[in-house]
Amino acid sequence: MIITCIADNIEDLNKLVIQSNKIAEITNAEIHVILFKYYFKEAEIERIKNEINANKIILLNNILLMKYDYEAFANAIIEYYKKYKSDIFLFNNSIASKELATILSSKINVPALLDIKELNFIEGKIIVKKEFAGGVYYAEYETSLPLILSFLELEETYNSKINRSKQFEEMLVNTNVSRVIIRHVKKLNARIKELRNAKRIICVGEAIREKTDLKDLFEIANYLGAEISCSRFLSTRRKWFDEWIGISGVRVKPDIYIGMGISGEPFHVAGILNSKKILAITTDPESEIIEFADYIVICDIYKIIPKLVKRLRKSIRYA
Amino acid sequence: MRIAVFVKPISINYFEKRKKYTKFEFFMNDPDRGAVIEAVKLVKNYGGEVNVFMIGNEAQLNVLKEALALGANSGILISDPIIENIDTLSKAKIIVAAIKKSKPYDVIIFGDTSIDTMHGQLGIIVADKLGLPHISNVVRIWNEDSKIVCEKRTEDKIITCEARMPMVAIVTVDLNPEYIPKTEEIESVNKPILKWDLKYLGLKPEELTNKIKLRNIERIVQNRERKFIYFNDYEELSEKIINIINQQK
Repeated sequence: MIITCIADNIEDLNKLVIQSNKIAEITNAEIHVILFKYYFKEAEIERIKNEINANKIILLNNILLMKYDYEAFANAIIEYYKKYKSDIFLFNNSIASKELATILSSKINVPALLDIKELNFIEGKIIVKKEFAGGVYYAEYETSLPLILSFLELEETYNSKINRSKQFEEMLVNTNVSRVIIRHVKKLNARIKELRNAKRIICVGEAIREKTDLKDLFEIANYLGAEISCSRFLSTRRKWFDEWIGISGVRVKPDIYIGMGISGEPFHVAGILNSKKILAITTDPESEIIEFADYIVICDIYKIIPKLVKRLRKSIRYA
Repeated sequence: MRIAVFVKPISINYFEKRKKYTKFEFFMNDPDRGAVIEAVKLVKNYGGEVNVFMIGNEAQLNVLKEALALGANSGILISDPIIENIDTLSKAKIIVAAIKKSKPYDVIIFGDTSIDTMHGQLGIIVADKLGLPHISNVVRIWNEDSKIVCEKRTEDKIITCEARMPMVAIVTVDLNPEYIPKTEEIESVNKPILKWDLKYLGLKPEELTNKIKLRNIERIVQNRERKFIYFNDYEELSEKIINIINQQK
């Protein structure tokens, strides 16, 4: 059995190999790592070759492999697949990697289950648990190998008993010229890492009417040492922030999540369920977020915000 | 410009809150609704027609009618008893057969994911099986001569890219504001709806697989305190809120 790990950054690749080693303890699998020159610097490739606990590290190389051309990457992986019949392809869960995983699924006719929560081997069956219906349900699927997977969250540490051989191989692969032409790439100021690591988060919802109303909320966040972000609607439609919280955006796990006027659509709520405490401040007593909150405040948001600013200013002055 | 859009019916059972707004048992997948609205807009600007396809059954016909109420020209219901239990790769096979059975399309549009299963793969697989270029995660789309130009959203970038027609665009829910036609508008739709089955598409049941079998669905249970904070005035409330925040470590 072979597990093949593919990621578009070194941090996730490390985690994929850790996850694979855990699966390999049960399945006795070999672990392969596929690298594309485009995604890794020379120094990173050297680090991977020396440090990563895999049986084979395979660099797929072709001058035509360009960033964002996932079809070309998939064709390159097929060259690898012809030589090594992998049983599980394990991808990280970036948008790019999931697109690549899906193209590969189509090309090699192997089903893909992406963003899975759990993978279990039970009496010769493979049971996969995955979020369903906006993420407030779990669906359980029965499937079989070969399989393409991505995990929602990866193991960060695991002490494998096996020290793998780390054989390096470079494969020159055929590929195609991209049929999608990139005109322009605009980098956004998305605070993804900051939100993932934040201990306190204020999340702004549709009940906040004007962008100028954010000024007070930024001040509150500043006093509390909190990160501030929003629901998808405020990011994609009103363009107030470059990122949003939710399962289609950033999943967060703070000590306390403070929802300010958040209605609590399932896709948003599922992205905050790992918060230790959830405080929902809302004007709507029927908000869906209430079901998932530890503390619920039903009030006029526009009355409480200035009071919070005033009290925090005062407390800082005294401090 | 000939545009095909694929829509999926979603059971209302897992989206309780929506029961307040509709009498139907099924509703249109949200990103697919955005796809229909966008297709209709493209045709208004550049001419042509929009055909909407749905894999489903008669009980879900209101979803197809909703697409027609949004301005699509005709609907095609692909129905067969075996279709209830097939995987994404097989669904793609049916859609590819349906596209090949129709007059050629310039653009084929999918919503990026279905809000129930959240697999998010169908559009990309169909593009690959048809041998067409695709652009995914589309938040803006327009036509320039023989090309479709899209803005694609990733975690931290907006990428403007183009592909020659025919092509497949996979759009996000952000593409268009939510607009759901009223029940009366849906029920009064009088546009052509064709009904196709596997035999008509030249597919045999044994060609369709179900390598991913759904065993069970369970609601996530969270042990939350659900404590309501009561207050006499907003001064008192601000103090209570700050205390709650400061208690968390």
